[in-house]
Amino acid sequence: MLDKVRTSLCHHCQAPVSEAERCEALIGGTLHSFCCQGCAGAARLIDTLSLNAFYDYRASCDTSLPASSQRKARAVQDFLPAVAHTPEGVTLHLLIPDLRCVACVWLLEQVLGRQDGVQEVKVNFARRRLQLRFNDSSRLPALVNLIEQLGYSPVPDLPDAGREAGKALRRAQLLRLGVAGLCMMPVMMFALASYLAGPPTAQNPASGMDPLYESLLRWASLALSTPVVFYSAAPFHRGAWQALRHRQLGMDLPVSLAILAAWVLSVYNTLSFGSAVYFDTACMFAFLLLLGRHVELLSREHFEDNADHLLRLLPTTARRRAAGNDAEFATVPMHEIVAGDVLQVLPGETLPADGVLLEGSASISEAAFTGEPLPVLRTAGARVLAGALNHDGTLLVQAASAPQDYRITRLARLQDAAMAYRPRWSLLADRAAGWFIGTVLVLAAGAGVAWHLAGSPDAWVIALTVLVVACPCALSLATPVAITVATTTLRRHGVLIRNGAFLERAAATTTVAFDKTGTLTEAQLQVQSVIPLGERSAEECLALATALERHSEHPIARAFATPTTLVASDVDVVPGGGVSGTIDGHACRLGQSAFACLSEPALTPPDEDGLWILLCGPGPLAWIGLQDTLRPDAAAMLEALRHDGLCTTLYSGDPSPGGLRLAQSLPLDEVRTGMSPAQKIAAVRTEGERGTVMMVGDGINDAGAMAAAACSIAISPRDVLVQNSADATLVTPALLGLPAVLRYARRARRIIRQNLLWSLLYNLSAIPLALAGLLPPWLAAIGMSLSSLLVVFNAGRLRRMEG
Amino acid sequence: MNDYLLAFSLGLLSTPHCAGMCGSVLGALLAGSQRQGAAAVPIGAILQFGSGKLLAYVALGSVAGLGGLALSGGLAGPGMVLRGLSALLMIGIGLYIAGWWRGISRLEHAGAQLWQPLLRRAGSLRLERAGHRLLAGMAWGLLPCGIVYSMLGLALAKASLLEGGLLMASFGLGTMPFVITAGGLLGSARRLTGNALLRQLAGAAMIGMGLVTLGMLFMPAPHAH
Repeated sequence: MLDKVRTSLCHHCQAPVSEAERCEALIGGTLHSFCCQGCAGAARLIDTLSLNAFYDYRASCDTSLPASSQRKARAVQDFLPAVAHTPEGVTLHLLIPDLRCVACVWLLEQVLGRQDGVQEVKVNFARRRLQLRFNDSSRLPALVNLIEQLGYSPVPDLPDAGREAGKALRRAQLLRLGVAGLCMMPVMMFALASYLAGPPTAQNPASGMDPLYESLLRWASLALSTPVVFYSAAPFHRGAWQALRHRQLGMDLPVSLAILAAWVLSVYNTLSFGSAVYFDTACMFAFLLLLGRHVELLSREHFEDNADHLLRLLPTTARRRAAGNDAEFATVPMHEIVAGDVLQVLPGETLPADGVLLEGSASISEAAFTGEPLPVLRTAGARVLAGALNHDGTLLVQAASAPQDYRITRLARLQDAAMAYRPRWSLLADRAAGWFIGTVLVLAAGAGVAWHLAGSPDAWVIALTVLVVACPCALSLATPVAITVATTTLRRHGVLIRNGAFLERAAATTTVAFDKTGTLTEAQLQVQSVIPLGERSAEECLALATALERHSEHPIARAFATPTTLVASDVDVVPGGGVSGTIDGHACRLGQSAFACLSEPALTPPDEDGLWILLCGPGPLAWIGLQDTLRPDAAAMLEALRHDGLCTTLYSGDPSPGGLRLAQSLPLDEVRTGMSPAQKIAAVRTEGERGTVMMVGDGINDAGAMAAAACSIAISPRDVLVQNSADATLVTPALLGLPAVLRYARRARRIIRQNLLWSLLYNLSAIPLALAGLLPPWLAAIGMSLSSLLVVFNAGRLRRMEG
Repeated sequence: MNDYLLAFSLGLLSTPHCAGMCGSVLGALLAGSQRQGAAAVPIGAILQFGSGKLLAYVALGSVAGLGGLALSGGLAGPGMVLRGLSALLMIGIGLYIAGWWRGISRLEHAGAQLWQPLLRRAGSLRLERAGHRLLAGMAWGLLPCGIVYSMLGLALAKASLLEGGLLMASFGLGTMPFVITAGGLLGSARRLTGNALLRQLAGAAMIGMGLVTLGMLFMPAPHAH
């Protein structure tokens, strides 16, 4: 198929050659086929000017790729998220990493542009993006297949699809708004003219406007308002209808009903020469509500910062070292990277993979993860993350995983999930909105009938005003907008939210429970002393301990780095206890004395500062003393929490008096040491009955306690690659981030409450006014739009972390 | 419609046809004239090639106009024949643009024969020099092209050196947006011209004008001079 495509393309312009017009020419000793004499002539000119290298260069572009059989064919459903449905058709957004020169652009445009159903092909060479618009989504597999057969590896381009869909929406909305505005102006003018003339009175039937002119103006208004009602206001009708089809009373129903009712009533009065027409009201409702919606869309997009999407940080291609040749690098698209690939990263480039730095050193900033823009020096052996920026070194990085498992990819997924979170009472508000709308419909109808019976000429206008003013749009926007903004802001400040409920619960926190090791302390334990108890020397004991601890993720394990050839088998890590295993046939245990020493009554550790663990093999071999240091800002952080009225407790698994002394030097309300994980869970549960507990730890050893707490946050895990179980992760090393997060959560809650309160107040106060006929229709439309805007702007205040 | 405006829009509308062919020529010319590590967009070179192309069109148009004058001798009779020919060509271009009949491309075969001798002289051009770039651009403008030949038919009917040149200049200017952006406008141009309906409309309009021109030849003028 590929060969067929190639040979049937014109050598010069790469357009398909039709047999009828095919012509051939000898260029540079080879017979080529051309689509027309013009192209044959052009090729001769290029040949004469000795520019044939151009063709070679061009040809090399699309054949130099590795055989496509090697490439993992991407499933069609992978591309579905990159498809945007626009009014004009289906738009597919692709990233083509191997788009290498302008000739590739021509090839794609020519071949794709001639496919059935393809309406538009846009190739952006600089950004390597292909945008394909076609009429029917069933063509997607064939088109993707064709691009692959041409030798390219298309990748779905998700952020662009999202943005493009947003752009199309904005354009369509602007057009509707424009039509509504243009048509509204003359309609309002006609209405004003007939209003100023006044109705004919009983005393003077000739007063007012000539009935002929009156009728003419009404017909003109009818003609002008029809597109507004059925085109501009179409989104309202569609929304209302879709909700109705699902047997729900949607937000759009009152608005749609008001616009349609005003129009139908006016048409009826125009045909029957009735008393009054409300074309101006219908147009104005449509225009003002659309205007409100448009501004709301713009500001939401602004606040939600689509461009800030994490995945946009990743490069599109990487330079991979060829197998067997260390000096040769080939550019490959990102999705082809697999664990073990060695990739080259030049100064100024973004790291393409999570992995280990093999060679070179550089200042690397990981702002995407930590919010900290200042670069940190990383040298060979360090772990680095995809999405981090290499400032100044040429590096070789060995990828640790495929892109779908990158930290940044996982973060993006988490962030999306957290943003979609809706608190329980927000869902409740949605359900209540249905009842609310039902009530409004009844109220509006009741008001219309009542005022009509009372003889008011404005009866129907009042009913329509009630419909518009009571729309609970602000109520439904109040929470989701704020949560989205808050999640993005926290991420920018190095707080990654895994569970959407975190924000809600952090705001309610009354007690903060800390794990000690790795949270309040540096967790850089060091071996202070070894007291041999048996026949083995201190060095031998350390070697045994190192062999055992190699299998543990616990912070204690890092203290053991004695070079040793010993290997432990049957290793078992017991949380809160220690490590056991077999070395050279000896059953060895290392940990708290109760755990390590099975046979004898528990030994008492030496009465010295620090953490003492016992090594047995199987008899007691040595006490090993470890010392940890407090983080420099632990005390300040606890003071800040206390200042904010929070209760602080420490649940430590460390039973040593040294640990207790260390903890007691801190401004904590309660200190409990020597707790097993089960005891920690019980303590958190007990505390949880009195208030809301937030568990702060490193997310690995205290997973149980974290799950038992209302919410949890992992603080600065030394290795951000390790998956932790906390609801949120604070990646900045500064502990003072914690009180800031709690304050922010409370502020977010306050803003959400303000939003809810405001929308309720607005609806509750505006409805009686409208019922009483005190609210003119234009004010109702403006009020409703402004109430939604206010909610969005109020949420926008959450863009700042402090404030 | 004004003939010059017509020629200009034809130039614009020829872009999809031109994109593959002229785009490749420009690509090759630029590749040949650019020194290693030069600026990303060689605007000067693009303009020189483009001016050469435009000059070639103007020269062709002037010659055609002069030829028309010579053929008709300023007389009404032969002038009528030329106008008829030009009307037929207009219909031909209309069919070509609408994509209904590609007979015009046969003109290219004829042109290709005439073009051969010129080609031999192009070999000595050195694209590093500005003047030579202008000449290479002229060679580009003289490439066999059905649309250009049809336009020359219209220039012929003008029967005036000045007007023939102006007509071809208008056409050439219409092709310029594509040349100047070095294919950068390809996407947006394709959006307009790639639309089959729009192309057929443009073609139909062209055919209509050809028919009107033709019709006017056979209709008695209302006010005889």
